Amino acid sequence: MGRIVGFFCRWCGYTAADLAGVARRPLPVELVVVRVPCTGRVDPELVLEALQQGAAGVLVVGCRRGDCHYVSGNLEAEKRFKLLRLLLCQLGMEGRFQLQLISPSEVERLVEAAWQMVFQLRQGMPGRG
Amino acid sequence: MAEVKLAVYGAGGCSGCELTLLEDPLGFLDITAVARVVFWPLLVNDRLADLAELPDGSLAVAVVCGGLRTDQDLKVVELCRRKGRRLLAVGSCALWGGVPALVDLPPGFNGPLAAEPLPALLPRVLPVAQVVPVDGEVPGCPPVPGQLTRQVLAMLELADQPPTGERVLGLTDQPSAGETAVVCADCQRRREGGLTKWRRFPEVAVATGKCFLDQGLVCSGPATRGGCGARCPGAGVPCRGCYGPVPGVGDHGARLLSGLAAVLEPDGGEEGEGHRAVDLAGTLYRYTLAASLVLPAAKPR
Ligand code: SF4
Ligand code: SF4
Ligand code: FES
Repeated sequence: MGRIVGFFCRWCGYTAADLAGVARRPLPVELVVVRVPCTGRVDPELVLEALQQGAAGVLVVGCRRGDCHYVSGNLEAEKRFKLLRLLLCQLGMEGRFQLQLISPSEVERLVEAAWQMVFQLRQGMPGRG
Repeated sequence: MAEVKLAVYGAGGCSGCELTLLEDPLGFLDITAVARVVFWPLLVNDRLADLAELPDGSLAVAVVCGGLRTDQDLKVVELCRRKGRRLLAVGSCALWGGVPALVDLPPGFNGPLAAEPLPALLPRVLPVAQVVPVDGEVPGCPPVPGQLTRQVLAMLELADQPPTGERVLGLTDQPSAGETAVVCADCQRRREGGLTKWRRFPEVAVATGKCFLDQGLVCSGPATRGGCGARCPGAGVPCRGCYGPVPGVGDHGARLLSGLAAVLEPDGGEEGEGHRAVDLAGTLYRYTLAASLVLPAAKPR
């Protein structure tokens, strides 16, 4: 299976991934994490480019509603990525993109989301790879 | 003085771009005053042998309209590149596949395959620049007539200088929208409020003076390169995006997606209005699918 590219907000997802390491909760080896200042900064073009260049999936992790350091970056991301998921669905690539909004202490949720994505993609790589 | 030669070829498209050359009659006369059209299947001469027999580099300019759909398109465009000192790609199909490239949306084309003597189809529609280097481009479906003839003339003038390797964009006449502005910059319609519900064009009695997005209609203006003078919103229909992405933007659809998401009111629930979008892929990539990131990258040749 190809990689899963994680665009993790430095205030929540990235911190949680750090804590996961401290707590010895392994993240899948397929996951490659890119630290971003805020999910509002993740252009859908980046996601599509990762997929086109062979990533099996893309996981974007941001702060919970109301917790974004820049007030509304995560809300903008939510609207944007809802449309993106629809687009990928129509193109036969459903399941290859996910947005999770968590707080920095929700290590379990992050670890679970990452593994679940890996399992799903391993089962049947939907769409082209 | 040696004769200045020009060739025009229409690959996969509707011939609209080629006819647009004639829609600026004075500009076209200026072209014919300095150059002779030696190959133009639509109007003048369709003998491929005539083109093939020319010495390499003997055409001042080869104009290619349309995306590459068949083996023959590929062959002729490669010939145009060899024979032409400058190659000008004209129209949305030549630049990004255009509407004909939507055939490559999943599940793809399953119709009967062409048989002899028709040329075989390529595995997918290709923009000209993915096959040969391009010296100049004119966007539009079709381009604004004056912009096209002016660009052909500019290319003819350049033809005897050594190639710079730089791609010439052809919209230098626009006073308000620079080369990097979007269609909205030229549009007279005004934005007022947020968008709560997508509608389709026949459902709406279009209000004049009001931005289409406020009326629930998808408009490609926010993500589309200016230069046309916002002629569609001016005429009462939303921009469909034919001038393609602003230079420097890789994926037109992704940019438009961000633009549309930005005006959507956050709706929370899964049943939000964003989910009512019909044919999102065809809407976002109406003219640029063949050059998009959602199709596998074309193999370098
Ligand atoms: S979105 Fe369309 S209607 Fe609205 S300002 Fe831009 S070009 Fe004009
Ligand atoms: S308004 Fe949009 S669709 Fe109409 S000509 Fe201009 S770029 Fe093309
Ligand atoms: S700061 Fe974390 S999503 Fe904006």
